[in-house]
Amino acid sequence: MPKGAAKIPCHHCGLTCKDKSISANNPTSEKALYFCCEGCKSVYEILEGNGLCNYYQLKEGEEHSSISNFSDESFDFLDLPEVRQKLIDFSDNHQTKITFAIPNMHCTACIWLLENLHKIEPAVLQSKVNFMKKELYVQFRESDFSLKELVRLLAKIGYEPVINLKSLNEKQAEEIQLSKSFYYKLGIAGFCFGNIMLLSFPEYLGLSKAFDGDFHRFFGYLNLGLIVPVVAYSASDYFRSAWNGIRQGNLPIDVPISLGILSLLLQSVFEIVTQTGAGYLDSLAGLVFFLLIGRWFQQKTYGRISFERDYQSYFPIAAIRRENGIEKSIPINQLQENDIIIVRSQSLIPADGMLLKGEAKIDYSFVTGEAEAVKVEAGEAIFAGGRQLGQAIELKLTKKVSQSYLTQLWNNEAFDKTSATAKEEQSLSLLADKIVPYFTPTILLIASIAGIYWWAVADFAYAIQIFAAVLIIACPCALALATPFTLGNALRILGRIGFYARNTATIERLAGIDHIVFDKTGTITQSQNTAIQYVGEPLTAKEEQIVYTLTRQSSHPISRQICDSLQQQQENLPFFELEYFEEKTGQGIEGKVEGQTLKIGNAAFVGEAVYDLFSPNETHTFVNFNGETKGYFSFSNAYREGLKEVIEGLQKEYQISVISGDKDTERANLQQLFGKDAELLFEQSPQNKLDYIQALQQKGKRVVMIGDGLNDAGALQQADVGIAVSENVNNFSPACDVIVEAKRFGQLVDFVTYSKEAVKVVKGAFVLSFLYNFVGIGFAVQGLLSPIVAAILMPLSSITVVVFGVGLSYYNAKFLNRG
Amino acid sequence: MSAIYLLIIISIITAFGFLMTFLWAVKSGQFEDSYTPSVRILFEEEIEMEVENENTEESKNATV
Repeated sequence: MPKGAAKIPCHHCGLTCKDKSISANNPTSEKALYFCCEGCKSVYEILEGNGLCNYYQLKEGEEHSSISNFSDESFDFLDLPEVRQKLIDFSDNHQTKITFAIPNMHCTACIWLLENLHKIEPAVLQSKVNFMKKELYVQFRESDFSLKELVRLLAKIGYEPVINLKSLNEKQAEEIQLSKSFYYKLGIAGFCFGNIMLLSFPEYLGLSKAFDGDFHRFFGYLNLGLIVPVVAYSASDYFRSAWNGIRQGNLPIDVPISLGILSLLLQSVFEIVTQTGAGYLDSLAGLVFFLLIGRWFQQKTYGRISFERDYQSYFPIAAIRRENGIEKSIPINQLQENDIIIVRSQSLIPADGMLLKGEAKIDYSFVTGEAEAVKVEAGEAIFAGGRQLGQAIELKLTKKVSQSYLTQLWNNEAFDKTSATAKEEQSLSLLADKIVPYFTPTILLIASIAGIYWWAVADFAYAIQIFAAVLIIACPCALALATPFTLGNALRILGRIGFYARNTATIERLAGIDHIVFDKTGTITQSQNTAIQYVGEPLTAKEEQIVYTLTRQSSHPISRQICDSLQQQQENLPFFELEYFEEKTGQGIEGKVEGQTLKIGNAAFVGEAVYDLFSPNETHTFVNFNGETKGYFSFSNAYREGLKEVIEGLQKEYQISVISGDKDTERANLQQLFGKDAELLFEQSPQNKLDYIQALQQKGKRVVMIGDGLNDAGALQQADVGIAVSENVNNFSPACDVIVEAKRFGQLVDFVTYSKEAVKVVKGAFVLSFLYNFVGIGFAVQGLLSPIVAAILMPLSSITVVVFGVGLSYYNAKFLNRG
Repeated sequence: MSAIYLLIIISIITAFGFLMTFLWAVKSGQFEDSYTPSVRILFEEEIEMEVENENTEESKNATV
């Protein structure tokens, strides 16, 4: 078959096919259809067999994600009644209703296919997509088709639902319920507000006295009737949250609002019952209505900026436990200490344990940011969050899931630098947090003084109105919202373009730095995707397989690269049984395979003289069979793209250092690149790196460490901001504050500048919000604001502050997207 | 003037009816997804068109 003549797109997913080996007949034309993998082909066959090929017409060249492989046991946990119970929305004898989160859906064709599930599986009664939420609602007959089979069907056609601990916690279902009742509240408040206004019309026009007293009383009591659902139902959240706050001994901002509502209500009831006036029920209903509208806006915006990263979603939610020789999958929150679990290839370790059996190669990139897998011997500890790369292994758990290493790491205060820098004046969110508790008593005081004054000067009814107006206008929402909205939005914008910061405080700290330390290997030089070249006597296919067998045992980056490059040449490269293997740190690996002794390592290790003709920008790894050197793999030390621009941009404002564990062969090169002022340190151990940063900090510097998370985790942790440059963003490193996608490295300067701008915007929003409150209270105290105007102004002020912050953070981000 | 009592009660009952309609709309989920229905409504049409096209092509083939 001709290879690579033209790029053939996979008929299903649109990716380029490696060759024409996977194909199917096209029923409508003579051209055969090609697929990139068996997964895509099987989806096509399912669709074709059910007359759903319209999918491909609707798709219109959209690229669809390739089908991920999953093992048959992957969804076994869905058969467990506890898991099933938590997932389904409703179930009776005839049908079961369930809602899945399916992030994979992304175009019209996806909607169409998912809503036509019943054509594939008759047991599905109805399937409905909510595209905005990426949710699929399915009604199906569970007697014919189990939940597990349903999920497997979805996974088979490329829409594997996301099922994790979080969705098991039933949080989402509650949220939907909550927002529905919120709309009820809003609707009822609006309805009552409108009708009370209508019924107050005679009052507005001064007509009430023109009619006889009966109308007056009639309208008054109708209004009273209408206000009951507003106060009792629509405003109930404010009362509840105020009451909860008081019980816990603090004064949330809902306290003044509740007090305002209650005082207006009591005054109005008194006036209407005693026939002394019409009360302020229109103001009260309007107040609640506008408060709810303000809250609705906040919820909408909060929902949009909610930060979706949650370490829980990285965890598998069931584990396979071995009990009396029987393997059974159970939810991980049921795992106990001393349970024996089986962890298959590519699975995450749910809890800390001890290796019993198997060849464990754990990728801790989730925990430490190290891309290279760690080998673990039987009897040694394996920590939660690692991912097994080799064959299946057996673990004996030493801890329960809830107290596992990873949870501790993530919750560990030591990793959260907010507490460490809390004393510093620059912490904006802290400032707002500090102000808010003092705010409520202060406002209550001002409102009471104003009320008493006006009671003395005018009358009680007027005083009540001013009391309420002050309480409501002074709500420090704008103040409380400025930081989370602006920095949260900045966080989101940065995350979208590959700069993942841990939290908003990180952005604040990044804005205040003055010294930048670079790690060399893996940070300013590329560790992956470097060109590998084999030079020397060509290796036979069998020899290549032997090299592969040996290198796949090792987790050293160079071994991994050789191994990967061999694998790229030929997929499913066979390997041999290993007779002996040893890795000599800093030198190489040796082993015995198929009776041949093999050494792979540096020149001294294989007994070669060092060649002088090599350029210092290359690393060489020799291959030696039975004492005879066949040749070497050469790797070029490529500097990362955009490094020059990054340095030029940073040089102007910051002091720069480079710290490396390597020999100083590259000193001249680097000095030229980083300029004369840059400090270059070579042959530094991880401890040296940490000490160096500590020393800088003691001199009063605020230090950013930019590393790869491999051997500089300590330094990343010590630095004010630790930035890990990651080839693979799924790396999770509790030690660093920021993860930057390697391809975005060139935009580092922009990121720092943007953080500075974001902090400026927050300060601006603070000023704006304070101004609002001062002016607002000033007017309210003088009796120039009625409570209803205050209720309109209050959410308006929050909205302006939020729009100011969010808008400016978008505006500032314009230059970020150029990359 | 006593007609006003009646009229106001009728108007409030009418308004109450609209409130109920709103609550029903919220309950039936009409505010939850404002995008997918707009796509969904196009599906049947497209499919029918596909079928029609195929039919016309077939008939063309037949006449040829």
